[in-house]
Parts: sequence; structure tokens; C-alpha cells
Amino acid sequence: MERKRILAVNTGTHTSKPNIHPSIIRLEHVGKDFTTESGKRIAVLDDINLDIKTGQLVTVVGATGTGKTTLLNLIASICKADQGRITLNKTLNICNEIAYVFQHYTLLPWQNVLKNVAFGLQLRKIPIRQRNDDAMKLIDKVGLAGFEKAYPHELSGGMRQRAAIAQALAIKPKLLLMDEPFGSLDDTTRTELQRMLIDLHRQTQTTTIFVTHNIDEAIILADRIVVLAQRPAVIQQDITIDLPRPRNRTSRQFTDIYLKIRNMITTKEVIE
Amino acid sequence: MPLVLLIAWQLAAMRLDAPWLLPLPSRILEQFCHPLRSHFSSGSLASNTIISLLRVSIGFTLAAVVGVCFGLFAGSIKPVRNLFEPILEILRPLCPIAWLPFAIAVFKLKTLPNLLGIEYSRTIFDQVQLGMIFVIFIGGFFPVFINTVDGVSGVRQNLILLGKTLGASKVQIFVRIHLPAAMPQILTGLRQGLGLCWFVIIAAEMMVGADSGIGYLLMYAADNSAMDVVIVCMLIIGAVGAAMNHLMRRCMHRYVSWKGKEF
Ligand SMILES: Nc1ncnc2c1ncn2[C@@H]1O[C@H](COP(=O)(O)OP(=O)(O)OP(=O)(O)O)[C@@H](O)[C@H]1O
Ligand SMILES: [Mg+2]
Repeated sequence: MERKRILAVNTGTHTSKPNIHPSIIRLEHVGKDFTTESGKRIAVLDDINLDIKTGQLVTVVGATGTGKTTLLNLIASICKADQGRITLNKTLNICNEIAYVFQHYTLLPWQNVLKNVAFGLQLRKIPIRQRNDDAMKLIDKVGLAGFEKAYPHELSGGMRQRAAIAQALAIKPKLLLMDEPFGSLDDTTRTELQRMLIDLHRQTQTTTIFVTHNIDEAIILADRIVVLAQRPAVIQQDITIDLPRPRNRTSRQFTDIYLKIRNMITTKEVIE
Repeated sequence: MPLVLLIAWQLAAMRLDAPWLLPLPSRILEQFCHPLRSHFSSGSLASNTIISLLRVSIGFTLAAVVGVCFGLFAGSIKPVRNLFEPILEILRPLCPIAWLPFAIAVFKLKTLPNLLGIEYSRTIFDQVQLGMIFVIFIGGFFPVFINTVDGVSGVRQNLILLGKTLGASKVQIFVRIHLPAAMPQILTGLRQGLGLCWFVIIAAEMMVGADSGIGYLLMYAADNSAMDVVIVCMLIIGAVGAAMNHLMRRCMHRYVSWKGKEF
């Protein structure tokens, strides 16, 4: 019960501006259970309330196994919620305006980067000329110029991730879901891709929900951070970040937020 | 190494001096040099090989088309798969040759031109008996079908989800995800199927009732103690089988080189 009260409070470091943006997706009292192979029922998500505004870049942090991927799957309607309701903005077409960059990045192994990036456009029957042009622009944007003819298995992990992001962006989604996309990358590449993502977000203003267990990454990227507590996951904190960009990891405000989130996640674990 | 073997063979053949058991390698070579010479009025090496190849290509094509189509159908629709699985599981372990008497009983000695209402076409197609085609079909069908089903139904879930989230319709998911993802396994099935077809036709031609084909020539030569022709036939059968396998491998390498390199 106490948890529920916490989530209603928006503990922004600064008073948030009056929000003129309409919400693109709203989750009300959403819960999700799984039945394991052995027949045990576990509640993974419990009473999740989220209201994502158009154009926001929201990051979701939480320890591993809390249900972050499950949350994105619900939003992408890959699986159904057991309790509660998920409402999409009327202008949002569920089957082709939500793009999802999976945790285990997926590219079609039988097609090269160009065709992979253009895949969504091909499904929309966009003429080959135009879709190749669009794809080439995106490939350039994510820094893969020169690799458009390479196959996924010929790319490094970071390059595959760039390709997967370009593939998702190609369909010009209104909502972009990203599940720990930089999880397996080294620090330098990670920082570089974070910068790229911030740039892309500034240019396209695509509403983005970005899942990570890296607190630092969450603060660097986010307009707003949602902290998930563990098992069953509830929203423990919902923080609006309006630090100026580019953000300085060593600034006082940054480290304050960092510590606050870290304490939240770790105390939770100790209690478990 | 092959040279040593050849010399050993030559020596052994000379010592034995029994060409009906172990002919001289030079005899074999000589036979190879005259592929068009008729043996025991049963046709030449070349003509019999061509007859066998023709039978296999017709039977295998049939098996490939039916196996792939049916496999795609059953692989993508679970109820269909469940319906046919028990039946196929009973029929599959049955050796294709065991079907031959049944096939001959059903098709008599009807040939391909007969099917088109022509009694006797005076072409090589008169040697294409429907019964033979049937057993080749049986031999080739199962590997093709089973591999296609496995390939289509075993596509990685996240590739399907990728298609779905990028807005693919059901048909698009099938054509753009299932089909290419299953391609390596379909080709594996075709390769196995072709190999088995070649096995089956040779065996079928060696059975009573056959009157042409490389397997028939081999059997006939053996009955006439012409071991040199027998060995030449064996070498041809082996070489053709190897060539088919090599061709299919090349094909796989060319079209599905991504297989096994996914991450
Ligand atoms: N299909 C499933 N069947 C049963 N349990 C599941 C299933 N999917 C997820 N779970 C359970 O739900 C919990 C949350 O899983 P989820 O993948 O959402 O975690 P996560 O927060 O994304 O973790 P990570 O950071 O490691 O990716 C896990 O503990 C897992 O055991
Ligand atoms: Mg996850």
C-alpha cells in the first residue's frame, strides 16, 4: 500500500513545466503474472501506472529480472496484461507505428545491412528506390556508412546495434521501445551510441522508452526516469530530469540523482 | 595413396588371374574409354546411366515439389502437422524399395508416355516406368518434407516478433521470415532427398522386372560374370552420387552462406 502512494508523487528535482503534450500511451493498474514450467505462478508486474507524453525520452531502470522487458512487451502488445488497462493515443497505430529494438538484437541474418534497415519499408511496399534512399540516410546517421552491403555476421556487436536502431527508426515510429540496446557494449562505444541516440531524439522527437540497468545511462539520456522495484515490480520512483544537455556526469546534481536511484535499487535488493 | 591401391590391385589381379572375380585395372579403364559400347545387348554404360539419371530427375523433382509445398503447409499450420505426423511416422521408416512390389502392382509396367495416352513413343521416355518414379518419389519425399517442416516450424521466435513489430502481415511473415529462415534446412532436405533417390533407383533397377538403367546393367553383368563391367558400374554410381552431393553443397554454400554464422 505504501508503495502505491510513492508512485503517485512526482519527485522531480525541479518543478516540472505544465505539460502541454498529450500522452501517447497510458498504463493503468497494469499487472502481469507468469506461470513457470513447474506450475508456480509468479507476479512480475504489479499495479503499474505510467503516462508517457509525446516526445519524451523515458528511461526505465531496475535490477535484472525485475520485469523491464515484460513491461516493453506489454506496451508493444507482444503479450497481454493480466490486470489493468493499456490505452494508446488514438493516432497511434499499434501494428506499424511502434518500433522495438530487442534486448537480443535481431537482424535478419540472410540480408545485408541495407536490406535489413529497409525491411520495414519493404513490408509497407514502398518502392525500392525510395526505401533504399531512406535507408541509406539512416545508415549514414547511425554511422554505418560503407557497411550497407555487409551481412549481420560480418559486423561487430556495436555495429549490429547501430543497424538495429536504424532498422527501427526507418519505419518512422511514433513510439520507439528500446530494451537495453547498449547492454553488451564497451564504455566508449556505449557513450558514443548514447550521444547518437540523444541527437536522433532531438532531431526526430520520437517518443522513446529506453530500458537499462545502467543508472548512469538512464540519467544521461532521460527526460524522465522510471525506477522499478523488484518482484513484483512496481514503480518505485518517477523522476523528471531537467538537467541541461549535454549532461555532465561529474556535476553535483547528476551524482545526487545517481546516488538516490542506486540506493533505491540496492536497498530493495538487500531487503529481498 | 590411390596409386598404391591401384598397384596393389594390379598385382593381386595378375596373381589371381580370375577376371570374373578381380579384373585388371586396365580392363576397367578400357571399359571407361568405350562408354557407348553395348553390353549383352542391354545398352551401353552411357545410355543406361542416362536412363537412371532421367528417372531420378523426374522422381526427385516430383518429390521436391510435393515435399516442399506440403512441408511448408504442414510446417506453418500446427493442426495440419499434428494430423499428418502419426501417419507419416508409420510410413517413414518403411524402406522405399519395399514399396516396389506395390508400385508395380498398381502401375503395372506403365511408362510415362502411356500416361499421356501414347503406347510407344520410341524415345528414352519409354524407359521411365511409373512404378520406378513412384519409389523414387517415396525415397525423396520424406527427407524433403521432414526437413521443410522442421525448418519452417523452428524459426527463432524473435525473428517473427521483429517482423510483427515492423508491421508485417501474416503472409509477409511467412514469405519474408519463415521461408528464408527455413531455406538452409529445406536445402539440406533436398540434398538428402536427392542422395536417397539415387540409392533407391539403383536398388530398384537391380530388382526383378527391370530392363534398363545402370543398376540393371550392373546386375546383368554380374549374372554374366563380367566383373569388369560390374566394377565400372559401381564406379559410375559412386561418382554420380558424389557429384550430386557436391552440387547440392555448392548450391547451399551459395544461397545460404549465412547459416551457422548468426549470432
Ligand atoms: N515467458 C515467461 N515465462 C515465465 N516467466 C517469465 C517469462 N518471461 C519472463 N519471466 C519472468 O519474469 C521476470 C522478469 O523478466 P524480464 O525479462 O521482464 O526481466 P528484465 O527486467 O528484462 O531482466 P533483464 O534486465 O535481465 O533483461 C523474470 O524473473 C522471469 O523469470
Ligand atoms: Mg530484459
